[in-house]
Amino acid sequence: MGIARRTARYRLVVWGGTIAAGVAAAVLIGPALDRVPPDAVHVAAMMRPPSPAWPLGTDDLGRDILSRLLTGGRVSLGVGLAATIAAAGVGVPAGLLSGFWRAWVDTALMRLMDLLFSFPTMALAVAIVGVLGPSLRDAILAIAVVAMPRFARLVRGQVLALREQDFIEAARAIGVPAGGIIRRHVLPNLLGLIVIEGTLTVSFGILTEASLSFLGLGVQPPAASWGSMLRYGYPFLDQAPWISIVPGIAIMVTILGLNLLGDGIRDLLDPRLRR
Amino acid sequence: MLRFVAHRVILTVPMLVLLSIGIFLMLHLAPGDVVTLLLPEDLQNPQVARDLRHQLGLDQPLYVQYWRWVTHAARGDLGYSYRSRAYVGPEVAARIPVTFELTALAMAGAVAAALPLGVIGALRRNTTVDALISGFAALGLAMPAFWLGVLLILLFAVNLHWLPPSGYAPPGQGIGANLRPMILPTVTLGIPYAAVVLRFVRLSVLDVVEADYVRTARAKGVGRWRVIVWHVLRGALIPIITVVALETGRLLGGAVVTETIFSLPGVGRLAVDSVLSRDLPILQAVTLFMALALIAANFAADVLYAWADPRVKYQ
Repeated sequence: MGIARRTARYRLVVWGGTIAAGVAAAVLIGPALDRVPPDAVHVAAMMRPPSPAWPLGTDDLGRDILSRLLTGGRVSLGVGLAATIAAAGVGVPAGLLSGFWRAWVDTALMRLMDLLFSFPTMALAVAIVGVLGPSLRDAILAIAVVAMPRFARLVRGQVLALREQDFIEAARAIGVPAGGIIRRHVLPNLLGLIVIEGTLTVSFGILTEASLSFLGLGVQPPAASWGSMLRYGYPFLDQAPWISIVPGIAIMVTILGLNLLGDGIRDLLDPRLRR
Repeated sequence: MLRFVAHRVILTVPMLVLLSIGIFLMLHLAPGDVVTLLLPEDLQNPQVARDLRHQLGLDQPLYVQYWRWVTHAARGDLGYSYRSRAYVGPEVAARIPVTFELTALAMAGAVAAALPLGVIGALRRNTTVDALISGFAALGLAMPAFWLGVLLILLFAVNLHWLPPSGYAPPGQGIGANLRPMILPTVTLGIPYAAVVLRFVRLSVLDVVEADYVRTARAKGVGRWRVIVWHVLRGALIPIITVVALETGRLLGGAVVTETIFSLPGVGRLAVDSVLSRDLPILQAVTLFMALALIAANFAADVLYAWADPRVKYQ
């Protein structure tokens, strides 16, 4: 990758990071600063378009969309984050086990991952939610299950490459126990990759939660996430399109930021692209 | 080649066994009792419940039930719908053509758009054109499919009245009547897929443009377009074919959302409806179909890859 291209990449990473941090900050701090409670109904101001009084307009019950967007964002980002932590929490140890010990553990775990990979992700998420019954907790679980194999495969592949390296062999030769090798030598080398994959998984989680909630299979009312807000505004598309458009923009901006960040760092680290 | 295919088929068998166990367990992992779900309010008493449980074979050990389910499923009998009491198999099968049409259209459209855009992006790399194309891909991936669908409906159906917001006409009513309501769903489903393929085409072409055989061709004085089509594109085609097939899961999964937005009577919409009405046998059958379709697509990807690349060993 030439200097010009690398700087262009850096710029995208900085942009992505700024967007993601901005969204996170708005969602964390925003609700505290906001003047209107998200569930407050204003009968005199129903379906108002965006204006100075209602910065992002109101919905059919006269609820302020900005406040709902900020509190709904907590749900959307929270689900993405929780699902990612759960997916990494299971997927990373599974990949480590699989790559380090090989043998039957590897075979069993990888066949299981193959099985999970043989479903279209969205169809698998819908099926899991369908079996457990639609709720926020089950949506998180579904997203975690769908995202987990990616961590496991990524980590396994890296471990397989790492364990052939001289420094690992040296550690083994001087009698460092397996646990120590994993903790001191393998994990630190994986951290960067896990963080990148984690960033992209948060974005995937937000998108999947939004899809599930849009289908009515995620957050149940009165709680709201960006996906369920979009669904809610759908019947009013011709009278008050902003009810649906605003949360859609929020989702898109957040995903774009996270993807730029994750993809950008990955490209910077990927030797294949350095030319 | 035949040996490769045979070997690949054998590899699929344990996968199918695992898959069948997973799908079978779906009904048993669901909280709540199937029998309570099946019985109407006024028939809810322990005696009737026990009889029904016996009739359905639910009092048998799990492995007996599994075997029964698998042997029935292999013959196409996937049980009854909880709601309509009709056979699940025909109900799902009737929906397949709609989903097939939608995904095929989206795939064709997406590849037709992604191929030239990706090649242009790679040949003009690091220019404004490349940045615009890559930007389109990034947006396509960040845009939730349902939101894109909503925007398209808003623009082309609600405001401009050019296209219907929803609905489906079987091909029997004429190609025009059939295709018109499919345009918006195809675009909705196709754009994220096109974004993935486009990125991949761009990278594959970038890999190939600097290959020695391309340089040789150019040095021999082969014309620019001939080099692009005959040497660059051909070399890049193998990974592209693979990604087109491997990303079929994205299309099938996307169909779940797209069909729901546009009220298309496909398999995906059936999945969502079955979840909302707790009709687990239907959901089970749809999930099975989705997985089989994806396994078939992956299989096709492997075979195409082996067929297109002589370096792949047939063993």
